[in-house]
Amino acid sequence: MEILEKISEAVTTYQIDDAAYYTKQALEQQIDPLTVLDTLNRTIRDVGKKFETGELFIPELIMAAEAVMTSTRLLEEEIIKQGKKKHSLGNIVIGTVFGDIHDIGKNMVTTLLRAAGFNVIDCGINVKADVFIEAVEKNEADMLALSALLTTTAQEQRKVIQMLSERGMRERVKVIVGGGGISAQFADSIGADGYDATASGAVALAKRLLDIREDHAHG
Amino acid sequence: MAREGVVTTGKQVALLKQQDVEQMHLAVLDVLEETGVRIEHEKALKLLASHGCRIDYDELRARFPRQLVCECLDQVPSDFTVKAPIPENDLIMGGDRLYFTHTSGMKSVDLSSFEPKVPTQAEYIEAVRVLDALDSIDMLGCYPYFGYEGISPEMAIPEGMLLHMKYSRKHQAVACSNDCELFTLQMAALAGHEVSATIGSSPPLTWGKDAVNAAFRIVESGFPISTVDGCMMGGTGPATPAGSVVTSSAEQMAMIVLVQLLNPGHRMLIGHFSAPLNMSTGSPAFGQIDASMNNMLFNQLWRNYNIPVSNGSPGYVNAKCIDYQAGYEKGMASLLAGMSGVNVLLLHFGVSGEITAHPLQAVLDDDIARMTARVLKGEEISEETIAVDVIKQVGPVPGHFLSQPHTLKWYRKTQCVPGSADRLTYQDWMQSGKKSALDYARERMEEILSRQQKVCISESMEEDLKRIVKEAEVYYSKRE
Repeated sequence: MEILEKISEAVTTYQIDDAAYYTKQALEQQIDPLTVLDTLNRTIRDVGKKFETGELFIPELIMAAEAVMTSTRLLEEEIIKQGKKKHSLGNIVIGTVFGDIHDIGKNMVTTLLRAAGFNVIDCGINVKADVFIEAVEKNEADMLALSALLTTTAQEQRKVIQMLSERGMRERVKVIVGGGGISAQFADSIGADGYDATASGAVALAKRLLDIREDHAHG
Repeated sequence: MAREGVVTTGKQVALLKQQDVEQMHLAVLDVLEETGVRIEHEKALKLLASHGCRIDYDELRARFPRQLVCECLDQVPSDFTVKAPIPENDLIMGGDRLYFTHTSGMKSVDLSSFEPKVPTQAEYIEAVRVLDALDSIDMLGCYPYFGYEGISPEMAIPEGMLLHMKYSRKHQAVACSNDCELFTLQMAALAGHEVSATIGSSPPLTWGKDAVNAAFRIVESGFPISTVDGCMMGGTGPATPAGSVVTSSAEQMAMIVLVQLLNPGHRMLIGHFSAPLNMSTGSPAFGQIDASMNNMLFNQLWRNYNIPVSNGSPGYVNAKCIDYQAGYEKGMASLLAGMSGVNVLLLHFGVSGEITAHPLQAVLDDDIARMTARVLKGEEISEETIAVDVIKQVGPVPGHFLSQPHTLKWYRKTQCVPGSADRLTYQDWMQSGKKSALDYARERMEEILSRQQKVCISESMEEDLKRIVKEAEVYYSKRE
């Protein structure tokens, strides 16, 4: 379908407004919103692969992801209206912990997780422990991903994990941690389920911990 | 009486035409006036409002009138003295003088595998002793390592500061973060030491509550303030060096206005720390030449304001090992920052980015500092150095200069002989164990550490300082 190609092209040329415009047109043409969503997901997966192979870089990844997110928001309204359900590999709550406002790494992980097919709820930066807990509860999250750049704020990751335990939720949700100030050793010491130093590594880690096989990963 | 440092005698390198500098200056004022800076501190915003800044209290944003900014820039001292524990280590900041200091690493590094490792307290002390012993290091930085085995991250600064005071008589910078200045400024005051209290912005265009709180406390203490921006080009600032210097400068000027309103004439060192963003990993691309270009633009712009500046990035590199890459990254960055007129240069100690550091690297960096200094000190031009009389006397072959008194007098002054480089003949090198620069540096480091360990404070002073450190520990344990 020509309109789907135009949406895909808008994403790969980083034209956010164009992607939204053609998405609206697709909906006006009564194309199934899940078909459009599938096109967007396939396109961002290709962008993600090119990022991993070094063909594209962070600015392209972020701009393409913004285009996809803008269009996805338009589609979600229609999907709900039609009583349909979108496919997802699982729900992941993500954010940078309290006291820390660094978000480049967290945004890269968010983008690549979405590209892989996860439904990611981004709590943003400087997020207090109880906000993470609420988001996990509200979204029935399968995984919580905590970012911290500073060694001082890394301790906040421990606090979030402790709070999950105190509320009896620790067994229900996997926790992964990352950021400049984090190491595998630190992740072990605070009781996290996993750590990786890179954004693409975080995606592989999420799939491994949630037991998602590669042949299922792309829906 | 103060440390001599390196006084530049020649012209400083300028990448920009004067009209470009003027255009950048106007751009900074434009950003401050139209976009403004987020200042997460109500008391500060009220103070700025009372001096004509437009404040949006919902967004915590202050917009600065151009005239106020220019007036406050004029109030910052163009040069000033900072005291060290002993007068011969005092520093005169500003003008054409350059001082070297060291960088920090989150961890130490295993020299055989180059994997990061948490230092022990003994290794932390060894690092301080080596940094103290190297004459090219004029002052201690905020910390060599971010703490050591067995202490919590919050206690890294107070505990580290105690060790700096105990094992060095050099002036030290101290990072203000997480309220630690409540204790470190007290420690400095008690010991009668001045410290350069350091606060950092949160780019783009933001000063966090912690940093502004610290600014109020530092001004009250009377110690000089050292600011640090930290814009990553393409991430937390524009991708272009010019654009990122504009955002960094706007952050710096916002803090200058606040500090100068609190205390006109307060001593300030403006610290620039910028690097391109590695567009594959999202990490800072330390060591790339664009980081040096960024420093050169910043230094040229700020020379116009006649305010002392420091450059942080030259000491941080992309290399993971002590190798060829580390050498060229540090060497070029140091020379270019020095030649463009920086007053304080962070160079020694860092092995890889902000991740690892080691005293062996500091010994190697000593050579880069001395080479940079040699260039900046320049060439004296006189009848004697031009040496026409000697040239006429020697004439063509078979004449030579080795037997000339002129050679005897001048060769030691003009040659900058590196301390850790191999300079043997090939034959001698093969016969003496084929040593590399690392081997020579290791010998120098071991020689420093074999010296008797000096203690620079009395036992009673140490006890008093430990009491303050203990108060910090109680403070942080209650806050958890």
